[in-house]
Amino acid sequence: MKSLVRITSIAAFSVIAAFAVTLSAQAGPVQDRVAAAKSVRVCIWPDYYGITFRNPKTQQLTGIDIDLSAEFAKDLGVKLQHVDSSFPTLVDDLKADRCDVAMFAVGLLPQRLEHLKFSRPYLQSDIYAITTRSNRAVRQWADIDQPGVLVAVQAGTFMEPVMKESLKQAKMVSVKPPATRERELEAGRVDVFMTDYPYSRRLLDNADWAMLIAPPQRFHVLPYAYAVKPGDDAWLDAVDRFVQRIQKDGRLEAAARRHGLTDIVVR
Amino acid sequence: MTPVPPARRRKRPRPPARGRARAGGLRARGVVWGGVVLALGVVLALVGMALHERRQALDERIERVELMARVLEEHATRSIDTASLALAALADALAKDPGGQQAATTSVLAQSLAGLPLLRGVAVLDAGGRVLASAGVGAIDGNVDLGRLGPLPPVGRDSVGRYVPGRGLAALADGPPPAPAPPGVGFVPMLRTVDAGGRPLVILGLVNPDAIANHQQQILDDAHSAAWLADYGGRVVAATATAPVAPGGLVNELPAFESMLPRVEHGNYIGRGLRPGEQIVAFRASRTRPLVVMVESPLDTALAGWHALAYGLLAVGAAATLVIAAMTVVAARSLRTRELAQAVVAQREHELSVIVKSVQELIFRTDAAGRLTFVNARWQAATGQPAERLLGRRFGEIVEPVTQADAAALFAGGAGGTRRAQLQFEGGAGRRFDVAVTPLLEGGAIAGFAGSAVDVTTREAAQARLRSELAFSALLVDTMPMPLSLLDREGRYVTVNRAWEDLTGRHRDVVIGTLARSYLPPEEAAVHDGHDRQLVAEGGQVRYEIGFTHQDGSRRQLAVVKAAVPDASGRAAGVLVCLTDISEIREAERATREARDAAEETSRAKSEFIANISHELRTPLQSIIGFSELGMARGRQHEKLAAMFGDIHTSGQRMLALVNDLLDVSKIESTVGTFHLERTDLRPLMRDVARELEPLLGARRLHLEMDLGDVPLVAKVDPLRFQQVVRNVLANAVKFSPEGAPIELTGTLGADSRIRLAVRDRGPGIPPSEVEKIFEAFVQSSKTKDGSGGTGLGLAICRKIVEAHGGRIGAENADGGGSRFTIELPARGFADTVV
Repeated sequence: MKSLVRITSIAAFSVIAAFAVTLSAQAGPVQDRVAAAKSVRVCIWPDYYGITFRNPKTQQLTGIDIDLSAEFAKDLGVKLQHVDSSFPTLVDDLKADRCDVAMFAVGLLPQRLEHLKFSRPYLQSDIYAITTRSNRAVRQWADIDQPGVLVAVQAGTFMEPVMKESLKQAKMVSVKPPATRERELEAGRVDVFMTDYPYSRRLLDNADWAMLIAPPQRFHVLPYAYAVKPGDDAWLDAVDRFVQRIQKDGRLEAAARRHGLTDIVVR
Repeated sequence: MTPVPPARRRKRPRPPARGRARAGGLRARGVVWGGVVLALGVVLALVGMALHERRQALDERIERVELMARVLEEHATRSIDTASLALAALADALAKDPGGQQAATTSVLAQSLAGLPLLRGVAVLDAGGRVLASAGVGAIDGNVDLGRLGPLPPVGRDSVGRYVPGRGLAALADGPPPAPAPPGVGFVPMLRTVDAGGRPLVILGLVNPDAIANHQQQILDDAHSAAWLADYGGRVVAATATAPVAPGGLVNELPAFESMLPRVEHGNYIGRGLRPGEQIVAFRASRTRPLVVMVESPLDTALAGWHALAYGLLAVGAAATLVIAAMTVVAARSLRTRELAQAVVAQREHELSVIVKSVQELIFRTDAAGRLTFVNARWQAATGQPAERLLGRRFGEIVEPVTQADAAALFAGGAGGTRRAQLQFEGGAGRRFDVAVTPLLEGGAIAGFAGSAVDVTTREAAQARLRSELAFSALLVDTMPMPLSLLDREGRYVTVNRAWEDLTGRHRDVVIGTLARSYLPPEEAAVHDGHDRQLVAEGGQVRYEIGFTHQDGSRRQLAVVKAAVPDASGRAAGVLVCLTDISEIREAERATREARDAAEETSRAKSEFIANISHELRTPLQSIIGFSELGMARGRQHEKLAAMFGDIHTSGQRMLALVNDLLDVSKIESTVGTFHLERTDLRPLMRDVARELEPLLGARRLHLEMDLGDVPLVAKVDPLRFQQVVRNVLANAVKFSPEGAPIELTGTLGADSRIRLAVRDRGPGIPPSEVEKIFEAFVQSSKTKDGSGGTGLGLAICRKIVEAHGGRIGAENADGGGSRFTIELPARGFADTVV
């Protein structure tokens, strides 16, 4: 029931965003700047596996939004420039014009909607749990919300309020850099941490020490979209029409397939 | 006749004996045994391979488990040593800066933790257990109960305590028990004491056993295997999730703890593990700590691959065994079949050899030059030389010089079919042989000759005889006076003889091959053709007469006899025609018939003449007799006159009797006198006659003995004529019997339905030469001629009458003197009369 409410709210957000885009479709400073500089600056989170990930060994960027941002630049006919960002700094980075658009699967959270404008969603993800393979406290989803269990979430992510609300017996631990969820888990300071689908892909692909626990039914599905700063509706419209295009012409589907994200594409 | 090639020739062909068949059976059995041995070999090889593979699979798994144990021991030791090193570094820092700020100390602790994921937390305690600084261990109210951590290690050393359930320091607090941690959450305390400017401090590190367990899990990567870290006492420090024991649990009942550790620091065994079933267990003690890493893997999964292989080998073994069995069966059967075939061939060879031996012909084979390479046994009989001496000799050398040229021609070059010649062999006593030779070709060239020879001496002699006989027969037919011809089925002349040519006036060269009917008038031809068709269809003979025009133009009557001539299959192949000119015979018959008719007419005229004469004579005789009686009566007084009239009367009476008899004879012979036949019993008729003659009998004192039987003697007779015959015969008997003699009259009915009447007297008898003559007219027996006073016609009349009745009369001299007259008449039953 709770998840249904959430899905409804997400849909509402999407509709609101679409209305906003339609109503304020006029040229603005960001689009002018992009046109003038003939380059688009795209904010990415280089630790976002499968979305915008910089391989620490090769420094090469890979992920669905690396591909799609290149498509976006190509559609605009401008050069592409990636700017490192993260979820906690996202709003500031956009508002301070360090980048023109954030393209790294930004979850449509009410807090963000207050500060940013979003294109239509192109991905959506539920919440997944990660623990060690040898863990004896948490072996399945039902073991998570138990007395004494410590559940880690990345500080600043949408999981933080979601888990805070949903955990009744277990205790939530917000992990802030420099601490990482993985290290906390490995040291046994927490028993499990929560993440989204793209991040879980990384663990499944690379970390053989970790064990993924998927929710037995929909737990909290969050739509992902591209974010721009408010005030330039034409730019937002350009971004939104790009999402519309890639949904229709198969570029989204193809990019998702390349990075193992077909299951969470919004079609 | 197929010549037997020399290669197959055997001097003494062996029959297919049972022994050889048995030898063949042994060979086939040998193949079966070979198949069994081969199958056993394959099975043994596969079993050996399976055992070897099992050993190898076990060895591999043991090696792997040992390797795991070594790797995990290495990791565990290194991890704990690293933690130990971190604590030592902290200890050093505290020793150098004993008065450091708590915040600074806490920062150092936090940094230590960042690089050591194994350490959950670290804390600095004073000797009373008060927490001076900490990181990652959680906050507690009160002090840490150091007593629960065991004896403190000396300064500069560290120690590893027992596993403590719980998340952080709260589990060690001396206050009220904290909220329970989830199961499986615990830590291993690591202690180090340090002298910080004279103040003893305790550095407590909380080692996260799950980090070790997770590493173990990661390395094992096998849901069936399990690994754990335990102290020497068998208390588990860390264990993979697959191990059915939680950290803190005891596993000291395992064989490694019971009998090996600490004496043996590493090893393996197959036996009891933590999980059910046999396990391959490897253990290895830490190099530096009293800890041991153990790894176990179930025996059955180690052998799972081998099981698959074993099933595969089993299938391969079964398949190979089946294939070998099938091949063995096929081989044994084919061998057996071949042996049987060989036996059959040997049998055939033997039979052929026997046949060749028994053949009456000469069989031989030569090479291309005509040298004998094979001869059969018959040659010895034909040439008088043993077969061995003939071999190798040219054919031309063994024949008589007169036929050498013919022999050479037989073997002359050039291809072609069978060649024939008549040859005489040396020592062959002049016998002639019909030799046939067929060239044997190989690649178009003559490789040799096969031939046979037949003794034709006898046949030729027979043929010569036959020719001579045929010539004789032809001559016989040709010289035969009877015209002969032979027609084929269609009626064409095949042959004719000279008499035929004479009859018809046509030469054989002209008629042979032509149709017989073409020489005849159509009506005659139709008659002949009808008979010919009948003969061709039915066979047999026909005889008929037909008119014919002789070459001289006269008409002749021919008797034709035709006979169907059968061919070899019994069907009529033609018709043999034999003609006889019967014209003269028919003429003679006609003349004879006419002469007889004339004689009969003459006889009839004579009888009628006599009858007429007799009748005419009786009228004057009546006058003579009448007047002589009158003369006698009137001249009684004149003795002389009376005697003269008496003589005239007696002569007249005799003449009258004579005339009457003549009349009687003529009546019987002519159609004038007719019989009135009726069926009647003869006995009353004969009794009447006897009664009539009684006066005569009495006058001469004769007595008649009658024996006519009780059976009626019925015959078809004219009663008066019959009585005339009986009267005549009896009167004869009375006339010639001496006085007082008996006369016998008998009548009997014979089995042949003939009535026999016999009259026996005791008279003078009849001379044998006159027995038949007395029945002729005017003949009397010489003994009774004189004085009997008969006319000589009586018995002739009797015979005429009896024969007219279909009977017979005869006379004979009876035994004891006298004669017996016998009358035979056909008997007629009364039944006939009724009908």
